[in-house]
Amino acid sequence: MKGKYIVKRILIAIPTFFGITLLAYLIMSMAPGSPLDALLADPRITAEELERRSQELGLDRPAIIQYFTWLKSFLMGDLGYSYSSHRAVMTMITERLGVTALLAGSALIVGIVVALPLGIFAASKPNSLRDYISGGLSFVMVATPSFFMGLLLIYIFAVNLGWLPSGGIFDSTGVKTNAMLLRHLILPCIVLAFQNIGSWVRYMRSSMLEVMQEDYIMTARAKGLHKWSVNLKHGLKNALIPVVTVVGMSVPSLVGGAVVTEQVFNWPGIGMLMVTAINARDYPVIMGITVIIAIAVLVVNLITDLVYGLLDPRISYR
Amino acid sequence: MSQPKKEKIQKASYAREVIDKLKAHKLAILGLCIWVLEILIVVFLPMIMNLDPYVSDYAAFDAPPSDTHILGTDSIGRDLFARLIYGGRTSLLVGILSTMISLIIGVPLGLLAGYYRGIVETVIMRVADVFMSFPSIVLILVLVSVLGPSIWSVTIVIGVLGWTSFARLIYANVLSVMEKEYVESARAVGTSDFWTIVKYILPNALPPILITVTFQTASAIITESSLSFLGMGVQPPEASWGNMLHDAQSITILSRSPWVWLPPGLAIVVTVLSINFFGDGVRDALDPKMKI
Repeated sequence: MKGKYIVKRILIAIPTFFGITLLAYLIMSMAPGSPLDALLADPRITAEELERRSQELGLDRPAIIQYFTWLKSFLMGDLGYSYSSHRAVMTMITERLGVTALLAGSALIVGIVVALPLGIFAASKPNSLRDYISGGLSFVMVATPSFFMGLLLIYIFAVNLGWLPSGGIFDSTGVKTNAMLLRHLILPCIVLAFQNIGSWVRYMRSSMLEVMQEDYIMTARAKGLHKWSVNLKHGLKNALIPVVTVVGMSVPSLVGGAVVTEQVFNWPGIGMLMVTAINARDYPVIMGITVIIAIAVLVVNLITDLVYGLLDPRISYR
Repeated sequence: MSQPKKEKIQKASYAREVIDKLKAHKLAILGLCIWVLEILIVVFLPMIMNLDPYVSDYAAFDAPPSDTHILGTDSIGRDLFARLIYGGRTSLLVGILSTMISLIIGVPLGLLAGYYRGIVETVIMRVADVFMSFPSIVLILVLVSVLGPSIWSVTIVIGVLGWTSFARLIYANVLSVMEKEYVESARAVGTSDFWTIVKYILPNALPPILITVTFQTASAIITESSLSFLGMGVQPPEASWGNMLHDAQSITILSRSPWVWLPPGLAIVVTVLSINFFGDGVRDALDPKMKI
C-alpha cells in the first residue's frame, strides 16, 4: 500500500515539474534580447552567418518546440551555456549548490530547534506573559524583511561589536577552515531562519492548544500521568503532525529567502548567481537555476508528504 | 413582507458582533490606526510641506540629521525625510494595488473551481499548486527582469502571482457554502448559475477575504521592498522604502550613515506589523479557529 502512495505522490510531482519549467521557459522566451545579440556586436558578421546560428540554436522555431528541445537536452544533463561567462550552466550551478544547501539546511534546523519549543512553551500557558512575549516576538519576526534584519545584524555584530564577519564564506587570508566557515555562517543562518520562526511558533502554539482539548488528553490526565508526560507524549506527538506540513510548505520561501540573504551577506551560492544572472539577462543561467530550484522544492514536498504519512497512521494511502 | 426585514436585522447583528469583537481587540485597533495614519501622512504631507525627494542639496552630501534635513541626506544630497514620505507613497501604493489585482484574479477563479468542480476545479487548483510550490520571489524576479523593472511592472507581477491565496481561500469557502440548504433551494427553483453565485454564494464566502487582503498587502509590501533592495524593483530616482536601503549594501554606508537605511527599514517593519495586527484581529473577530 505504501509503495502505491509513494508512486502516486511522484506522479503528481511530475506534471508540476513540467508546469514550472514550461512557465519559466515561456516567460524567458518573451524576454527582450536574444542569444544572437552578442554576435551582432561583431561588425564582420554576415546575414547568412546569423541565419545559420539562429537555426543551430532553434530560434526560428516556435517557443513550445524550443521548450521541448531544451527539455531533451536537460534530461541528458545539459543546461546550455551562460551568455556572459560561456561556461556550462550545469557546472556553474553544481559549484554553488553545496554552499546554498549548507545555508538553507542550517537555517531549517535552527528554525525548527527554536520555533517548536517556543511554540510549545507559549501553548503551555495560554494568555500568560510568556504567551504574549512569544506571540509578540513572532509578529516582529514575520514583519521584518530579511534584508533589513541582515543589515541590522551586520551593523551590530560585525561593524560595532566586531564579533562576526560581515559577509563571504572565508576570510581573505586564503586559509580555509571549517571553524571559519561556521563563523561566517552564523549571521546569514539566523536571518534566513528568522522569518520562518515567526510563523512556525504560531502554528506550533495553535496546533498544541487544539490537541490539548482532545478527549485522549483528558483520559491521559485522568490516569494521573505527570503533566509533562501528558504534554509531550500525548500532546506534542499529535500536535506535530500538521506542523510537519507547514515546515515542508515553508521550503519554497526558505529558498526564496536565500536569494535575498545571500545577496546581503555576499554568500556565493545559487541565490547570488541568480541575482547576477538576472542583472546580466543571462537567460540560460536563470532558466537552469529555476529548474534546479523547482526540482529541489518538489523533492522536499515529496519527502514532507511521506513523513506526514508516517507520522499520522490515519492517513489512508489511497 | 416581514421575511426580508428579519433577515436584515440578523445580518446587521452579525456585522455588529464582528465589529464589537474587533473593537475589543486593542492591538487590531492600534494597527488600523497606524495604518490609516500612515496613508494620511504619505498622501497629504507633501501637499502641506514643501518636500522634494529628487533635488540634491550641494551643500550637504551624506549629511547626518540636522535642522535643514531632519533625517539627513543621502550620498547625492537628497533629503531623506522627503524620500521617506515619497517612498512610503510608492510602497503603500504597490502593496494595495497589487493586492487588488490578486483579488480580482483569484476570487473569480476560486468561485469557478468551487462551484463547477470537475475538470474546472482540477485545472485551476493544480495550476495554483504549481504556483504555490515554487518560491514566488524567484518567479517574480524572473518576470520583472523580462518586463523591465518599474513601479508598474512590480505591481502587476506581484499582483498576478498573488492570486493563489485568494483562489484557495474562496474555493474552500465555496465548498462549504455549497452544502447549505439555501444554495440547494436556489438551484432547485431554477436560479441561473450566475445569480446563484452572485446572490447566494459570494456574499457568504466573502468575509474571510478581508483577512487575506490584509496579510497579502503586508506580504506585497515586503516583496516590493525586497525587489527594490536587490535593484530589481522601483528604480531611482523614484523613491521606495526598499530602494532606499539598496545603498546600504555598501559596508561604508551601512557603518557610517545609519540614518540612510534605518528609517525606511523601520517604516517597513512598523507598516507590516500594524497591518498584520489588524488582520489578526479581524480573523479573531470572524472566526478564532480559522487557520490562515
